[in-house]
Amino acid sequence: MRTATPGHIEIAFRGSIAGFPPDTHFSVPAKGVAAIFGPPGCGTTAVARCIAGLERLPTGLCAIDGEVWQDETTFRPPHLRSIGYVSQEAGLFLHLSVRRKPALWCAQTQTDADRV
Amino acid sequence: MDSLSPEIWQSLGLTIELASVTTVILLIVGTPLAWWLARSKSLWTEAVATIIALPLVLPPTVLGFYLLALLGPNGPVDLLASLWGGRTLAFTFAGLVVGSVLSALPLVVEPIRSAFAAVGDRPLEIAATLRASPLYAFFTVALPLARPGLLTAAVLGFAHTISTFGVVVMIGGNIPGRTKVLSAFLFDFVQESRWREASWLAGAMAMFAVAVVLTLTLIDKYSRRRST
Repeated sequence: MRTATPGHIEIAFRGSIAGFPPDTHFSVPAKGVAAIFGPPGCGTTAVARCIAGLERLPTGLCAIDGEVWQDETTFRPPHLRSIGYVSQEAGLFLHLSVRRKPALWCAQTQTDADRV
Repeated sequence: MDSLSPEIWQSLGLTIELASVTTVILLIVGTPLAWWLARSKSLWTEAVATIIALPLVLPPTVLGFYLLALLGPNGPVDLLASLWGGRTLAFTFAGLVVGSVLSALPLVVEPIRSAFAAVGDRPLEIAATLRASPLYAFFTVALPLARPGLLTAAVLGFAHTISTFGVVVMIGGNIPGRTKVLSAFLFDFVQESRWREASWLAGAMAMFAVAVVLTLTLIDKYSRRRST
């Protein structure tokens, strides 16, 4: 059983999202670069989406540097997770200007800017 | 045009006022409803969608009859209102608004719902990863992307309220200056064999309808060009 550990990213997901089984658990240091790779369809995107909070598996642990983002009792919504997420698909907001899109981010982070 | 009594201008004002108030209420009520219908996976959406769509297939007089039974004198709403000295909604402007909102609701909810459905999950997910709260993402991402649907809904809601007849006659009681809208005026002209006035009014309303359909086509064309 994995637990939140400072200095580590602890991940354990079990279940299935639209046929993709992100049945995985691992622990990587919270510093540096870690990459998850595998053949198409093995669930790398599903794992990334689970970490981002875009998908929610009923059983799972996601703890970043000692901070629990998801376990049996908690689930932090995606907009409160400090991540940068680049999707495979084009994700530009064509109705917003270059100035407005980062503004989307700024307007929201002003409140927790002190915390970060 | 001197034979057209000032009453008809009063009626025109009333009709436009009714359509404007109704459209605003329709958008305020219809947008969250359409959002929920487009995004919820609950089975209740089917039931709610069915109830909302009913006025499309019900004869307007049937809807008007039930509203009258509900809101009219000695109806449940009237009894409730009388507890704190309220008055019946039947034969009042407020009653007209209630009737118009219900009968135009399916026409307003559907374009907004399909616009939200077309926006899809992706832009909202990206907004969430950019730290936009769900409410903030709704106003900065979902609503702007669904704007053509909202415009179509507003035009349809406004036009449908102008053209509605059965419901407003049933619940409004056709009182000159208070609840007598243009379509009811036309009916009275015909009944009194005032064909000249009737043809003026009918012609004007037909022109308005053409303008509405043209507007809808232009909205559609404009939004298609924007999205490609």
